[in-house]
Amino acid sequence: MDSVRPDRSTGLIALQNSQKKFNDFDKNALEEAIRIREKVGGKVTVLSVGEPTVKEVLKEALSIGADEAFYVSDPAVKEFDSRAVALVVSRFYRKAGPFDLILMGDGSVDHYSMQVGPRVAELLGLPDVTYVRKLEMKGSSVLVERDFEDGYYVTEVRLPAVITVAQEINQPRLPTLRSILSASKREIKLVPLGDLTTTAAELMPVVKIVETHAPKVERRKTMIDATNAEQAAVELVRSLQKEGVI
Amino acid sequence: MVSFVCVSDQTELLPEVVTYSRSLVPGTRVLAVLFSSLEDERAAELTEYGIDTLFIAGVSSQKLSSASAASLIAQVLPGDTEAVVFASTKFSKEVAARLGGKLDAPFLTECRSVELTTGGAVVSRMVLSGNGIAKEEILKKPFIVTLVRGLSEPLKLEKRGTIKRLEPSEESGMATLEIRQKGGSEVKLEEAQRIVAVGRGIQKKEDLAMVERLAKLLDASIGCTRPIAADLGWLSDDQWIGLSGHKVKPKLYVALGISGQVQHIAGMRDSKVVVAVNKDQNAPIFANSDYCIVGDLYKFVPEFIKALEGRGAK
Repeated sequence: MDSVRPDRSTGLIALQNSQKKFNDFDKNALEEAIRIREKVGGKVTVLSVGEPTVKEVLKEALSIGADEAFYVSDPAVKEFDSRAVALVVSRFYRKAGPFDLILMGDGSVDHYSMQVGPRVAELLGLPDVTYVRKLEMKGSSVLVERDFEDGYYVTEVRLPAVITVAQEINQPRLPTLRSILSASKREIKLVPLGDLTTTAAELMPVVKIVETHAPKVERRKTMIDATNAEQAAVELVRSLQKEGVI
Repeated sequence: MVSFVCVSDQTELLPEVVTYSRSLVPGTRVLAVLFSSLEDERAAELTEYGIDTLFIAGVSSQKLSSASAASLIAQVLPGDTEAVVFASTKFSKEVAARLGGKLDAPFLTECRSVELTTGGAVVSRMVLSGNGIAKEEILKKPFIVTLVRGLSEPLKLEKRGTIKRLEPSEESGMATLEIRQKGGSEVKLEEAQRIVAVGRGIQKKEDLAMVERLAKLLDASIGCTRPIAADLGWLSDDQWIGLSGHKVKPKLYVALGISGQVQHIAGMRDSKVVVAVNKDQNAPIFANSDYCIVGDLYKFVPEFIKALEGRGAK
């Protein structure tokens, strides 16, 4: 999401023009899933919900190391809000699962609504843990470290469980040229809404974005040329004293 | 009549959430759920902010699971609930999302304003890593929101409400074994008055000595961008400022060798005065700065230190 440019005259941001990108937080979730597979075995399934362009994201996931990829998309559903995504994920779990772990990012970089994980857990009656910065498999449970304001909580959770991870949990690996080539030949399967016993009507949004504005930045942007560092430093200290911040 | 249900796990945040909810519908009934232990007298005082019934589910040092917390809220929710309004804490956000699943209700985080409509509400909130403010329409009631901090000045009423204690059922499926204290910096970054933050422009770990010297002179805490903490490990995760790190609002923020990626800006946007030092005059950090020092930080910082030391002599 580093290519967002608001329209100068209106301050509106046109989201449909910004390119679909793999959410940074979900990359951490995929990386963690691959690491778990490398340690204890298993299979990593990736699922994406949205426009057909999500296939690009899934191709990248396959090239990074996912075993299989599915997407849910339907021309009758123009936008999937968080409620709809959670509903689809929970139905997918019932159809293709059960899985031992549902991993996702703490929030999306774009919308950061941070709710799909706990919603899915509630719909499936599973435990959920969020803000996970460390994770260790322990047989039929998982030991996690969660980042709360008042400390790091070390919690043991029984599987199956929904876990959302923080960015600091790992450094996602990059695909190689060879893995990109082999991923491009693999199938990304479309799951029709009917297979998930849901309908476009059930997935109608309960939240709609009316418009998005660029926040007003009221910074003065006073340029200080530091070719002469000494002079620049004196000038800065004087200004900061005037502001009353030092 | 309609009711609002206000929820927090931090006692001090409940008054502002209650006051804001009351301002939405004059004369409305407000129930509150507090996930923190509080003795009777202080609880009674808390109800003076306009809480008709205060439900306390006190768990001393532990946090409830989001499943148990959402169940407790659902149990006390009256039929005429307009909205469930949460204070903005990490626990709240998780519980609110879980409650959203339980009630099949719309939920939006970090709302900066809420206007009720017949079928729901219109809210504004920060999106795109802090690069946009979205106006969003909620199309269903009851709905759930978390409010950003400081939306209203808490206002007391004359009368007190009733207090009820809730007993959470026993947790199943998870157990917290230990709570590790966050170490590192003595001052919490969120509360720091001045912050010196470093980014990739710092070439090696040893150079942080110079930064520490500057921070000491400014009476500032030290923060950093993600790569410095997560990739290089030169500073701890506790010092990482950004979208998923700390969100800070000091009086003075000095950014040294920070390019200004959107994720970082999201963490420091609310600073009062921002000074940035960067070699690249096109670095995005300058668009978010009050004082833009274009130059080599290795030449500028020693002079900055000198000028600050000279200040004391005068």
